[in-house]
Amino acid sequence: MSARKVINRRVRYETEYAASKQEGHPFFPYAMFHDTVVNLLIVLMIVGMAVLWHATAGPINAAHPNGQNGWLGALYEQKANPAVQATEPRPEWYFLFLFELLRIFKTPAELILATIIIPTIWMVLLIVWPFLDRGRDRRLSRRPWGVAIGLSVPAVLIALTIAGSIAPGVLAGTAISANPQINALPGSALIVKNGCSGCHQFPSGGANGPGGDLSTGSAKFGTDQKGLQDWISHVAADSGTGMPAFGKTNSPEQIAEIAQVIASLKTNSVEPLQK
Amino acid sequence: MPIPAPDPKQVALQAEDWIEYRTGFATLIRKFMFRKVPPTGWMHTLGSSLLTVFILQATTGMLLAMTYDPSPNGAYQSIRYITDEQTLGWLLRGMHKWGASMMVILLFLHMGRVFFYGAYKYPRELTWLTGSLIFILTMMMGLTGYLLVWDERAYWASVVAVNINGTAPVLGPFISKFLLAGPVFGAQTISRFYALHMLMIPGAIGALIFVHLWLVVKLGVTPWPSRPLPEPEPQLQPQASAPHSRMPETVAGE
Repeated sequence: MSARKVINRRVRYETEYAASKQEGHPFFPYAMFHDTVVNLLIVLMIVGMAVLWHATAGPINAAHPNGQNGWLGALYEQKANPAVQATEPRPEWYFLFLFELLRIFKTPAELILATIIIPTIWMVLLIVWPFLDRGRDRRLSRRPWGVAIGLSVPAVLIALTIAGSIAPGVLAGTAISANPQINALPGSALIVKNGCSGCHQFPSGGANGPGGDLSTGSAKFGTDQKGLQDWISHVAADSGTGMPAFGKTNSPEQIAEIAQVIASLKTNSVEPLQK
Repeated sequence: MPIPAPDPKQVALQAEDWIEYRTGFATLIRKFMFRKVPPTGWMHTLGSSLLTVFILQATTGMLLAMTYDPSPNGAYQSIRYITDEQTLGWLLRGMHKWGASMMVILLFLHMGRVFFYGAYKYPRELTWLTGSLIFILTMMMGLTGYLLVWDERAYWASVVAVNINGTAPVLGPFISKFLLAGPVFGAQTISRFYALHMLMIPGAIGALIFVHLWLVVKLGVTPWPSRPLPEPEPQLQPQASAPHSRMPETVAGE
């Protein structure tokens, strides 16, 4: 842009802005009045939520070993125990849109879309948006693309957040399938203890994501127990699936027993244990 | 001989003059408070609400830090102490917890207001840019604060989040090692998250808020869009002696 054009643009903008200031008013007390009212309201809402949260939930004690959930959730859950994963890993509500992306793109090949590519595109677009949308007219009727993006992005984020918030949780009870022989395997008890159904679907329930569907065994490994053992132990964690490395909190024998169950779910009959 | 009572108005004026001469604050405040702004309404209050919530978060955070113990053995116990036993500790923690949610909601609403007003357009591109950095850093506050409760949900959600961070190309392994403060999730991790959550990220947010507000006051707020002026004949011609003439023929970004 030539120096003349830069100056023309500045003069035009300054003229417009001076005109709009003419119609305006001093910051104090006019704009500050609005600010004060809304700020007070916001602080009151925060105090109100804190009161509601605390008044309807209860502490963990002898009578309530798992705490008491209130209208706004629990005060706290059981203390973190790195050796036992008995609960589903769920983020704060404002990260549920990313969590839902993990549930949508859950195969190892697509996963990078959810973990890296889409969030990076969103962040870059957010930062550089003013340098992409450079039109001078700010009226909505003259910004069809802006309005379309401004309405569709929140709609997508809200839809992802809602979908993420209603994701099923860890399965109730200890029966992972309808086959009593599979349920009786030591690996089935380990699957319950490690909270696998917080992310994976099993024949009798669990979360349909972010982990892969295991209701008919593993699509990736089938009855390849060695492959399953490596994957559960550390390969899944190393390849960036978000899955913890369960080899850190389970012995090789335990990992082998878990792999045996996953392989058995494929054939719906007990597969021999491979070590 | 009785000492004459000082005139309170005189004392106040002298005090103001004393400060004004040394700092210039009185002029600064007067200019800030009585600057003319375009027509504004309720929609223009979201930014100041965010500042208020940030100050509230900083205050409740400092008070929580006086009792909170950032260690794997002490964190959970101190959270339970704050919530169940400390006088009004539940209110302190509740306000911090729900203030965080409120801040995220207000960030989205503020961003929406700025977006639909077209307020990020010329010459306010940098105001938007600093705002989006504040937005991203606020989400990082949520991520690092979540772990500090050190309960089951917080722990495993953070394990997953850090594993995912580790998959980013080039920087990923470095970031996840930096967050964990070691090869695995352990005792050092909680100190690392605590330092990020209460020193590094809020410091960066505070600095960015300063720049953001500087730009807001310098450039003024944006009124609801109206029809722009027709292409005018520029009233200011660049002259050889004008400072603009030293500007290169092409100006990057304009």
